[in-house]
Amino acid sequence: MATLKKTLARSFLSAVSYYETEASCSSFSDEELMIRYQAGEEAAFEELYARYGKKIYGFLMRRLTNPETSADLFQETFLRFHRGRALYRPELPFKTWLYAIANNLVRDSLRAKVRSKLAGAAEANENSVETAIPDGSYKLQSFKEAFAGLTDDQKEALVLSRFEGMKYDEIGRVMGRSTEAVNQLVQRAMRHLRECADES
Amino acid sequence: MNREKRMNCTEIHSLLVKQIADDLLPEEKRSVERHLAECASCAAEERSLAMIWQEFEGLPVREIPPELYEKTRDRILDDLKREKSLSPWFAKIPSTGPWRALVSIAAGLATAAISYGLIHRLVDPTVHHHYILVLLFSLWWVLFAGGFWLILKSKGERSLRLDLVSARSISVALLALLISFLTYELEFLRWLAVSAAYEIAVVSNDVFGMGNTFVAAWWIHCCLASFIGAFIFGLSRSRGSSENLFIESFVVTILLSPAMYLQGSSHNHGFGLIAFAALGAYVGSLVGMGLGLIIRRRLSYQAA
Repeated sequence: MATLKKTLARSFLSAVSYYETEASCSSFSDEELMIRYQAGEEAAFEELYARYGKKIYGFLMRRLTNPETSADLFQETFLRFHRGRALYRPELPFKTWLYAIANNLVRDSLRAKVRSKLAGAAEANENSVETAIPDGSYKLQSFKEAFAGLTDDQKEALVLSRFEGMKYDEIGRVMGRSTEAVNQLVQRAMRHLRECADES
Repeated sequence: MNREKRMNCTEIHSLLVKQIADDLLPEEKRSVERHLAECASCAAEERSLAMIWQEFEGLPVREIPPELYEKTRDRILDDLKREKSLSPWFAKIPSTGPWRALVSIAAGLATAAISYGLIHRLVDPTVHHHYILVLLFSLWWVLFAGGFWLILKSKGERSLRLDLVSARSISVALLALLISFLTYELEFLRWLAVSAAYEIAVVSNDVFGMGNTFVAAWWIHCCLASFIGAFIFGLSRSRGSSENLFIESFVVTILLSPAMYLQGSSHNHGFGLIAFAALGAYVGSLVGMGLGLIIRRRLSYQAA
């Protein structure tokens, strides 16, 4: 009886094709998955989440260093992504669209901290969270300090290039800058880091 | 020579980080490599930057806490399930075998009845014989039933676009009829429509040497209904809005033709009215969809 019910439900809802697409979701591009997700396909969302969930968290941690703030923004990123999925257009590269959501949240968060009277103390506290990680390397410690001395834009461009493996034109789309501006930001950031390394 | 070399070095320096990040075009990459092979100072610069690039490897990578990962995923999946359950009645409609035809016929009949309810005040029974009315509303019924049949047929296949066309066409046809009804029933709207139609007719008379308030009113009517429909489609998330635009306008015109013919024949404008209304539908669709798409494009990155 249960099998009969199951079969009827499948035929009524055209579920056979649904299960077929679920099984082969990993072969779709991000953009194709996004279209399916827009149509309400859960498997498409799960595949996209599996591809980008951990990466987005890594990106947030590198930009913010504070695990609590990163966790909040991680949830907020995916909730915005979910609520705003109707506005995604397939001709936009999915990756840059998703990172733009996360990046804008990071910017808002950093701006809010600057505006706050306790900004200085909070920032110092955040940096100390990351630098306090015992890794036993003085060189690495000074490298982290040098990295903390970069401007937000420089950090943003450098993290997207170095850790997220994005091309400069993709970073430009995420940041809302030209490719040349991104090039300048990454160069200045790298030279700052090298100067700090030379000094130490 | 020295100056040329310095300039080249400056240019190369601006490309070194891109070279390390592997973001150079093939010809740029070849130029940089050729230069580095010849220029010791640039090669040293490249090595020091590459070492810094390498330093990032040592930075600890913090993994996402499993409970955060699961919690966020489950929250969105729950939300998706809730969204789906919003239209459980549609999911329950059988879309196989004779059910599809029966449901389509019944839905077509219901829609034709609603349409008649909206338009019956506009039809003068003393002008038209009953058999004409029966014939025209039967045609309407067949067209609506066909539209519903397509919607049910492609319920599980998102790639088929005809279902979207028929769904939107039925919605726009009903919207157009609702506008007719309201315009006829509400004093203010009637005054607004007649005034606008009169102004258009005057302009048309001045420019083309001909113009008619009645025809202009239908033009406005179809233009407005198509504009609203197309604007919504332009903003909507589904694919192929632009490709569907003209087909939809065409289908909407066909769906509304019986009503237009009835009205037009009362005033000796029969088929001419349909042609003008079709033109209004196309103009409204084009402007509405264009505007919808532009707004959507702007919203898309802003939402991000």
